[in-house]
Amino acid sequence: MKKIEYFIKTVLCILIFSACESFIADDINLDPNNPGSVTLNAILPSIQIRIMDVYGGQTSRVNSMFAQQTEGVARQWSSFNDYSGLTPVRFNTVWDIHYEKVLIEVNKMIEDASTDGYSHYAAAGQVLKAAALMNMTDWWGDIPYSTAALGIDDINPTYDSQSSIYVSIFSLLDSASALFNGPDGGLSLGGDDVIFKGDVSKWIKSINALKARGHIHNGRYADALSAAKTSFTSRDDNMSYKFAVTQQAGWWRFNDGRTGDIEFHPFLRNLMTNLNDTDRLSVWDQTFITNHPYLKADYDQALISYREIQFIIAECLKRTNGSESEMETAYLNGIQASFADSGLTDAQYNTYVGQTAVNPGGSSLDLETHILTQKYIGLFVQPEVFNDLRRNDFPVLTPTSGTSIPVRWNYSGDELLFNENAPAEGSTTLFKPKNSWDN
Amino acid sequence: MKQITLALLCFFSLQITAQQSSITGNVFDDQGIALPGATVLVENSNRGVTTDFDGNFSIMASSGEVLVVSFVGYTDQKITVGDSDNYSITLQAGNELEEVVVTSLGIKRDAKAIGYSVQTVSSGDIAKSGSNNALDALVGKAAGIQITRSSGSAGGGSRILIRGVTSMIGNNQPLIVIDGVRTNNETLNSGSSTGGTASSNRLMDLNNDDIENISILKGSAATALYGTAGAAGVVVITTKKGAEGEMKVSYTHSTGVDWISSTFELQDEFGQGRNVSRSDRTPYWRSPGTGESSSFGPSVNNLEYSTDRNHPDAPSASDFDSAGNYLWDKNGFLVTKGTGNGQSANSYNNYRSFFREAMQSLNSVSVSGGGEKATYHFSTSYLTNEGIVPNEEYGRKTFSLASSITPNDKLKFTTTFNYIRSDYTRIQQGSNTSGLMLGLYRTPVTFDNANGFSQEDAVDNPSSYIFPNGKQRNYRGGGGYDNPYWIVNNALRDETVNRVYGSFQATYNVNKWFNVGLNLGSDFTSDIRKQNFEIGSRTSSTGRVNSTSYTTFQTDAYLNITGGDAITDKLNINYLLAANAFSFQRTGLNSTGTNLAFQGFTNLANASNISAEESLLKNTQMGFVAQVEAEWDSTFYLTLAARQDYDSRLGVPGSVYKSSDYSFVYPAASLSVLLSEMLPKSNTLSFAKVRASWAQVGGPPPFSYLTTSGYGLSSVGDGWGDALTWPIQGTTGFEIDSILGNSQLKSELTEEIEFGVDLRFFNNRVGLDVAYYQRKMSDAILNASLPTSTGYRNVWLNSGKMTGSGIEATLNLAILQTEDFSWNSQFNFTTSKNTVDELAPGLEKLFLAGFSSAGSYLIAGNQYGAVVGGTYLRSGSGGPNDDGLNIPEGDVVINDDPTSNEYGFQAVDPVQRSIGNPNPDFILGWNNSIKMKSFSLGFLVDWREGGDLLNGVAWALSFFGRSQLTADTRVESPAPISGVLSNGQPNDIPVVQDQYYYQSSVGGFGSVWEQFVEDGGWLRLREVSLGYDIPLSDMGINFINSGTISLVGRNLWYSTEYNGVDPETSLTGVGNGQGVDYFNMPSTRSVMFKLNLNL
Repeated sequence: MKKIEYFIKTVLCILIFSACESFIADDINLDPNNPGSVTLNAILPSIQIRIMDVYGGQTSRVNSMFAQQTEGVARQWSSFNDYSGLTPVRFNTVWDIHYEKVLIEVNKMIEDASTDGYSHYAAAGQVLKAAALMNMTDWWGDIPYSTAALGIDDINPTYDSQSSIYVSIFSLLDSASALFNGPDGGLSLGGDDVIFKGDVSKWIKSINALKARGHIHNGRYADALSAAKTSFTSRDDNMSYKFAVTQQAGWWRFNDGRTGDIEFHPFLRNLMTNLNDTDRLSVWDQTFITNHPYLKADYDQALISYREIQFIIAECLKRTNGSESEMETAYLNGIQASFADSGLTDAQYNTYVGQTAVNPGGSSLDLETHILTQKYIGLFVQPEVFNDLRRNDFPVLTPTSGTSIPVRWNYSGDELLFNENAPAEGSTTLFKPKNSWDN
Repeated sequence: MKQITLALLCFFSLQITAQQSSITGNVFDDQGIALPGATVLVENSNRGVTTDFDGNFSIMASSGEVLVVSFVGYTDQKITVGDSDNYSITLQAGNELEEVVVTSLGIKRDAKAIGYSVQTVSSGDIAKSGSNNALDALVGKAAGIQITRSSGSAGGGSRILIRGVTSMIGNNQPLIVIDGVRTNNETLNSGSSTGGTASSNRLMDLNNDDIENISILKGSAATALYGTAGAAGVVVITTKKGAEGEMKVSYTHSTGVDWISSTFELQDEFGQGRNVSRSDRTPYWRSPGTGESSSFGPSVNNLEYSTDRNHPDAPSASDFDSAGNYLWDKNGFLVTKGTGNGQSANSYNNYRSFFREAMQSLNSVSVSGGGEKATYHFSTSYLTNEGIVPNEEYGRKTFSLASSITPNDKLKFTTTFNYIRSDYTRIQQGSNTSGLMLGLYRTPVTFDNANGFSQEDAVDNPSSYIFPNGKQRNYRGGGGYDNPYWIVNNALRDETVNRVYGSFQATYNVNKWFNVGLNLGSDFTSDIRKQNFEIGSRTSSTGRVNSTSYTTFQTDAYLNITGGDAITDKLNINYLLAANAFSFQRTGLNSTGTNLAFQGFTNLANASNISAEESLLKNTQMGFVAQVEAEWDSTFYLTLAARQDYDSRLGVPGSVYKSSDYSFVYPAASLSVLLSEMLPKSNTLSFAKVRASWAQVGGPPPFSYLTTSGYGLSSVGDGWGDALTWPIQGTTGFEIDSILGNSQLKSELTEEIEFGVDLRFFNNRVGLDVAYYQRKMSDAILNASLPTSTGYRNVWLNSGKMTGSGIEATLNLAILQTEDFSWNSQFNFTTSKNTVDELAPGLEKLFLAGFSSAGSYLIAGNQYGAVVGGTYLRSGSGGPNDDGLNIPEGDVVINDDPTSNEYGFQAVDPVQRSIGNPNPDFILGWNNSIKMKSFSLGFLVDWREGGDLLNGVAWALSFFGRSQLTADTRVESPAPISGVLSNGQPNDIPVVQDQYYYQSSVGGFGSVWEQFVEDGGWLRLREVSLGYDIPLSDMGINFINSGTISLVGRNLWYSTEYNGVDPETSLTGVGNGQGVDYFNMPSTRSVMFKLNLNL
């Protein structure tokens, strides 16, 4: 009998002890799957790829649909196409990505890099943050910023005016510019910088490119012109991320999973057909499937591109009565870059711009007929086309349903629901209010 | 045929080793009426059984042992086992109430002493259910439980709730305890919550023939001794252990067939295509090569075939092969009647013939027996179960050994050991482009998925689903959805589960006041899964292989000290002290390979892009239990209990240890009063008991690691199309967790009060047990939504409050009792209601499961899991009756903006609202057992009243013009839709509900869902069984003790208002969010032949 007692006691001691031990250990309930902190090289790629992915994905689809470059024709996208299906909840994901996957991360990265003195990482963070903020305020107008991304410390972030967001954007870009022009503090950007691979000179050019875009949005054409001139000098400078055959770009993934939901828009087809733009049409105006010759798996998604900058230069020169030859050069550079971007040859480009309808010569270039039209075409499926549409009220489009074309995105349905400081339900729609820079 | 040969083989091989052994019998009352639920115990042993509806029992006992037969309201009867194997036992009505039930920690107690609700289901009732899943077998057999099978897939799991829910987002399924230790009943999903394959619940690993009985502990007082683990109720399963006596052999064989129960009502008339334009609504046919998704084309009656490529309406050149043959149909393409070759267009029957009659078979053998000091029970079973979808398979082998050793009269050891191997081949379902029903239902009638082959041939003939160039052949030109024949060959998932579990029990009885028991259990599960997507699959066009392995290991240990005796001649006291330690650990490793190099080799080695992730989940709990039970004069029974729990899931890493941080005490008290002891003895009211109980029980955090947050990898995408997983082009990228951890978390709390009565009338021929309970749940842990502008999506909070209440009633009727004919009937009634009172400050709505446009939510003021989606605009929206959560009163507003594409349609409310309640109003099970001489008939009627289901199939198929509704309305003359214009006047805008209506925001894929909420209740003939006792002795067969053949039908008939598949379905599986149907696998009906022999 004693043996049994010993046996039971021993087993019991082992059990209770091993259970107790796990209670007094330091690592009780420590999550082995998710680290409590990460280094800069582990967070920079996700910020960059997130921004590129959402920009070239849902942002591109919605904006190009609003600008009638693409048309939603099936399932949810047919109701998006006539605006009725684009209820606030449809914007939850894009909103979430900007705040929960980009802003809080980039803030943390800037903070960590600044603490450690790694100033180029801090600068890269500031540029990315500025770029993200500009997108956010352009789509949504007033947005939470100064009290946003603070977690539980402020569960109802307040909405900052668009003009104040733009002030912050320029201040971030200025700060980044100063940091990039200084030493890196001991840690240089490298392969983890998936956009520029650590090329600081390109980062500096991209700062000026973003400034040019920001200025032109706000109608500061002279400022935009001077910033544009110090930015990208070739397509190689594009602030872009090239997806891969095995890790595909947003449009490819959409066309793969949602084949037939979106197609090329007849408006753009007619516009280009009338300009004998057959070569680009033959690349773009194909059924939106994975074999689409332009919306490829390894699409090089630009956040801002050399061709956009060239069109900005042309537009600013036109609007400020600047040099006509410079204007013509920039205009043609933009078109040429667009052809190259679509895999077309210089010969094809030359044939196209050889038409008077396309290029009547610098002195005859019209703002709308030429510059804005070519920018509209040249930035095919780039989200910026929606900004240009609102800024210039050009091209003149017929609403797909009702009497107006959207002038903004809806706020996220969840944001309206959960943030006490969000605008009252119904006070903002796709059709009101306009952006501060949208006349 | 194979099954029958096998059965015969087993049969003959067994007769050589078998010896006569089984003790069977019937228990009657003094008027010759069978007594169901009587307890038969072997004296001085742990062996015991309960009689079935017909008063039959079968128990392992050896010659010389004493059987103690007892039943509430009757005097015990003792029978010494002699030479006979069959005993007819008559109980005399009396005051002694000796019914025994299994309660917490496996303690057997007199039913009369219990102050809360416990219900027992016997092995016989499980056996005749015709189900291989012990949970499904319980449907309708106990009050207070709700069991829902998630789909008709072979190997698909079930969800059980006892008294509704206790946790908002945590586990709500009861703890499963087998032979005294906690057992794994996990369901590990594959794929997303709305798509992927069916998943098992692990209790399916148990061979039903091994079950001795199942005891269901319902309320908090019943489960308090299990602490937080028992918060959702406890199902206590006792398995067969063998008994002293000669060796007994029992053999069961069944062979059955399953077939589809019902399909959605699709239209057979209109082919693939669309209307020319909004202004010219002429339907025209479009070739599959165009990728056209809808069936708003012309009527097949107006179409015929053509093979003339120069026909003016011929499809584009890419729809023809190099020899000039049309690719998509061997008959040719379709043209307007009169312009083709005169061969009328076919209306292909793609879906009705797709499903097969699936065979299932089960062979199960058990051998048991024992001597004075040891007993044994060994069983093995082999189940094969085809799915109704071709190539879907489920197979299970079980081995079980239970034995006990009694070295002396104070000491006893019991061990159980089980090994199970389960194999599954699963089919993609639900919301994914490789989901079977999705492509099957959407296929237009003018496209033949089988490409001219019969169903059976098409499954095995690749030319039905793949072209010689490797491209997929489907109705959308290779885009859209997988051809069903592609899915059953090229998108399969294989799963293999190896599981070992068992327990070791030691009891040492020192004296009346001091007995020690030790109970240790371990449960190890290895679950290895491989999902294949061939190159060209719609879900993963570059091909994909997912190789996943889970290893789950849990241990549970109890030390019990018990004792008790009479203090005076009226007062009895007993006590229990116990300690419990439990630990759980699950590791997961998942490797994903994409971009396969070539077809025909779905293997990670063929992938050019491979990513992997690993996970480890672990938690530990400890508990200490004390209980005192006092009995006064066999009339009053009072039980007081408390448990103190420690749970590692409340721990905060790095913080200084304070035991109070994660410990909590739960008290329970219950009282039982036997009124019949105080009343004069009466034959009319033979027994009466009232009971009351109160308890508090905690619920743990739903997962580990919620007290902190860190960084993780999350896939990159925007919800449209596949997301990218890290590493991406050689870099990895971490992000801050989207849920904010909370170091202040404490356990959830449920407070419950229960009252019950147990009344038996007319010498127990009528028994009624009614229970009423009320619950208050507070500190419910939830992932409270934050506006994501805070940088987080959610924060863990103890902030939820719910109230629940319910009534349960069981009515037992001995309707007819004569010598040759008996009819016993049991009604089990369940109603429970759980209302969400509060989520978190400022939070009125929390997503549980489903889609972003509609799904199951927690909504303040509504019942648990409310169905939420878009609604029509009401004239009262925004007005005084609009709370922003529910549909306001008022007429539907019609869009009267003539420039709108939706002019004349219902206007859309921008706010998502609660549009349905998925919880049934009540559940009623009616279980019957009729015996006439050698024949027995059983049937179970299952009535579930109410419970809304979101008909996502109707939603989607209206967009595609595949539902019959769209065929009916598209040809109607224009008429105004019921509603009011913006000026309040009745709508007078005539519209036709055609393609442009069903493809608008009030049609399929639009934001409005309210018109697709349907009543998911049913009335169902759940089980029917017809049995016949083989007159073996008449046939001169003496080596077999008893034999039964039976025919068992399951789910043979049901009636429902729900349009589509059987409403017993759940897209999101066994999780908390219920009430969504979206192309789930249809349920089945089955009939099986069963043979049972006892040697």
